[in-house]
Amino acid sequence: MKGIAGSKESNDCLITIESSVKRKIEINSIVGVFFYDQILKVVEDTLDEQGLHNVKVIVEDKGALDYTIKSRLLTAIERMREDV
Amino acid sequence: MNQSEKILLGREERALLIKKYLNDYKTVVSLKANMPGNDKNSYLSYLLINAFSFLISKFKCEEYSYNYNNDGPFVLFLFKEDISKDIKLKCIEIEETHSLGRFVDIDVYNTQGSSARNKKRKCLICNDIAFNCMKINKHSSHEIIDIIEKETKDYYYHKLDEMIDESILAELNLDPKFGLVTPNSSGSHPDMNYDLMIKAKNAIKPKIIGLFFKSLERNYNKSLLESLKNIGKSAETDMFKATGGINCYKGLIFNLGIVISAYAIKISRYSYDNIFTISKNIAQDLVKDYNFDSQSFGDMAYRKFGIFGIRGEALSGFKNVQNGINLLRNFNSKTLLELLVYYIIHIEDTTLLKRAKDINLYNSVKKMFSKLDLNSNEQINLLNDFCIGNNLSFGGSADLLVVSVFLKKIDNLGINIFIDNNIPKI
Repeated sequence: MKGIAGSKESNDCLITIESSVKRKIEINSIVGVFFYDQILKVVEDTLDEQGLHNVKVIVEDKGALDYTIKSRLLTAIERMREDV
Repeated sequence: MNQSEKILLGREERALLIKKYLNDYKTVVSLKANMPGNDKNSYLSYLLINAFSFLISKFKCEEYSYNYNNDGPFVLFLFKEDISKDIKLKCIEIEETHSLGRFVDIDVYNTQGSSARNKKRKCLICNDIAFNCMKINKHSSHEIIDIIEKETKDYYYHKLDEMIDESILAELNLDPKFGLVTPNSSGSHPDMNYDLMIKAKNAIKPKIIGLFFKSLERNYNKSLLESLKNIGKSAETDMFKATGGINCYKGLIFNLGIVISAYAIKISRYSYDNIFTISKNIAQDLVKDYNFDSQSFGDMAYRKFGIFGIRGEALSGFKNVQNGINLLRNFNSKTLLELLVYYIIHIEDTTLLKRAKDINLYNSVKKMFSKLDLNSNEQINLLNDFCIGNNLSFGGSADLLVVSVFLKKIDNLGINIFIDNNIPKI
């Protein structure tokens, strides 16, 4: 099961999520030096809200706003759930 | 789905479209406006896209696609060869040197993905790295949009000012001109001269540009038409004030005014009509309740001879200009003269009728022009002397020549305005 959402355009991010034995979050961000923690928090909070623990998430961030990251992650989750 | 979600979906759609194109093409360049806020399809996005559509010809791409979704309008340029490195340099140069370059994204993709910018872009407001400001919402989108609006409007103001000037001068400087005013002669207009025409030109220009900006408004309705009429009238007032009551460009205000309004409508939204169709609609709406019952010569000509005059040209969507503009390969005086003669032969010109006083002379003058050999200066001079000797002139044709030059110039600036569906030209 796998879901992808977003794009690698500026101000956007591409998020890939798939099932895994434990939670794993990988963040590559052009603003990572300053905002790594903030991005990580958005991803973790969203996964908690959705009750997802055993997933691997890859965030390729091109300077997306928190709102965009959350929205892209939710779409990726939705797509993962549809991907049977 | 709320607006923000729709925007994100639109962005994703565009990315997928690019990916799809990369199956068949080696390089894709994407041009879009860099517009903050929720309205990605504001008129500013479209004006920005138009201002950079010259890239289509500059890049010499095989194909292009012009489209829009909730994330706004965008153009994709498609290339069979992998020229991404080369073209990326060109794009960066354009983004950094064009006065509106900061407000657009020109992204280059090849089969390996997109090539990133070396230098991070600066914020429009505080000069920090743009990403940082965005991330912490340092400036409101209104604040940023205000800057984009001001600079974009400045850009168009100066471009239009320059192009209107050049278009009017292209006609005015042509010499000899069969009774029309030239730099050396008042022709058949003893009450006018070159300096007076220049004064009239300068007086009407700001108001004509005003018609452009007014027509950017999204609502095409009665109140907009009313405003356009009022701006047109104030252009006439300003002209008469500058010339001491001499009518130099009343016909031009009407025709160029309609064309520039149509241009504003064409390039400020995803318009499916070409500029001539839009002009036709505006002209018809403007003169809808007109009865041709005044004592003006134009109205009498219509009642007596069924000659619509230059008003009819606008009402038809400038059907003669649609044909004539093909003659305008360049702006050399020989080409301009050829087009002027084309209009003299083909259009209904009430200025000529008024001066010929007689429908037979009106028709035989047109016949003389259809036999004129434009390679013979001798014939041109003879006909010029004949026209001045008989006090003839061709105001309507001169107006259409100005309109044609203007149309050609705005077409060279941006998207193809002459075809439907807003597809940019190659």
